[in-house]
Amino acid sequence: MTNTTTSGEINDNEDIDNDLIEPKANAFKLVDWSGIAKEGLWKNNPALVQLLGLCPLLAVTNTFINALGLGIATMLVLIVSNLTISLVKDWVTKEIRIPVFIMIIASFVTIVELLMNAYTYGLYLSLGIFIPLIVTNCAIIGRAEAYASRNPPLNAAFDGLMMGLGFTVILLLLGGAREIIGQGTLFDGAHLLFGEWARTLEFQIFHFDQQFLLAVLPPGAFIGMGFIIAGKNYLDNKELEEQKNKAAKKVERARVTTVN
Amino acid sequence: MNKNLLIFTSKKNALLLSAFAAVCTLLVSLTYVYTAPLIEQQAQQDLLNKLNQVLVPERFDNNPLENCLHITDKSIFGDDESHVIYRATQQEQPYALVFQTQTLKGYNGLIKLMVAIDKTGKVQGVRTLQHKETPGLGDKIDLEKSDWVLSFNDMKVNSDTDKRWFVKKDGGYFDQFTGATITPRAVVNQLRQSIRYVSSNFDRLFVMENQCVVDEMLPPDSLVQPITTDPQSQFDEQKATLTTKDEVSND
Repeated sequence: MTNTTTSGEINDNEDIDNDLIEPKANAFKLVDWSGIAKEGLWKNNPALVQLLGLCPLLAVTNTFINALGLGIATMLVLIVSNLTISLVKDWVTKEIRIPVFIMIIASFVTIVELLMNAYTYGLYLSLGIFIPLIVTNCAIIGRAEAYASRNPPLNAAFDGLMMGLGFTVILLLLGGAREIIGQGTLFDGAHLLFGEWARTLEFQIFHFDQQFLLAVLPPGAFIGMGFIIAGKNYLDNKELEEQKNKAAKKVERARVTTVN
Repeated sequence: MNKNLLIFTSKKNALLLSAFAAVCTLLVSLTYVYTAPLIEQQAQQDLLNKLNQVLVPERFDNNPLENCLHITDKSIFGDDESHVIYRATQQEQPYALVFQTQTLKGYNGLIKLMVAIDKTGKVQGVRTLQHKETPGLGDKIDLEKSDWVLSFNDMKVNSDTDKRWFVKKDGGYFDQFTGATITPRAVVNQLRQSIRYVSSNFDRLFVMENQCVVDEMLPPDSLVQPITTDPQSQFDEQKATLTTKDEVSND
């Protein structure tokens, strides 16, 4: 008895080992691009699920263009920092990991800040302190630590792109909604980002004498954010329920067959 | 043995960290060197745009950025820092002074304003450069939200307590905003003081030496002394005085 059980256990262990090895081998051959994309954009969205980088998210989303500007800046920093950290991960020892990551991130943020100052001066002024504050956006150090320091460079860069995109989409959603509700405009200040020709992009959707203050001020961002998170959770729950229903149906059929 | 290993790893880590710091600093420095002239240019352009907004474009023909003063004067600027006053001229004749002023008496933090007045003391234009007033209420001092600042155009301050230079609630000429009196009151009061001071010192400020001469330009002494002396000879004179000074110091 004991012999058989131990051999069984050993067999089990071998099975588990095989299971563990096989997907690993696959992961190196075939990168699960769509999986990474899904993680960044939906399942593990930095703004909606991880709730990282809320400070800039809430402060800068008063207009669509501000949101776009900060979104692009954050995305750029995320991609480049993820790529760099993944490239240097083998040289960095465990003890100095965090300072090195922060140094890399801070350097790239400073570079992005200088470039924005030089090429999109108006936007630089309107985003103000929130560009240098990208350094403290936990989404970036979080990805560096959780993903980039453990995965090959290409995967890490793609993860940065998708996480950045997920963050930007939420920024845009919130920025657009707050601008429309608060000021009745969309793309206000587009010339700050794209140059003078973009002034024609700005349009007034509706006009009111008094701005809707709640949407313009930070509390509006909190409320809007709440709605977006609620919406995401609703969709997730719906999907989960559908899956459950499907599973239940399958089980019923199985029972039917057994009974027959 | 263990201790040696510890020292070794610490040394290695310190070296690694320094190496990363060096590379990062190098990258940032390179970007800085590359973007610095562009940033400077953007800032100048931005300033010039603002100057063009507060001045009447047809009435001056110089570049005010190249004709200015650095002054520390609380009654003009509202603080104890050194600020710049730009001078606009038409055919070398004084047209307007452009200066910044600021007040902390607004609803939320500092309000920075830019003002231009001509030699008769008439306001050419007022713009809000920076403020953190409540959106929808106090932020109407910003031209993008409301044309309230245009109501200062062509106004003069006749005395320190000029009755028109108050908000209506205080018996003056300027509108306050619904739900926000503190902001326009702070702005009007600050403007009254500083405009009064600058207009009564207009001539004195205009004869002061230009402190923003660009290298290529001739010495703008013609502004200071409209006597018909050749600028070149003046330049030589300056040189002469400089050399004599040197000699004295050598002695």
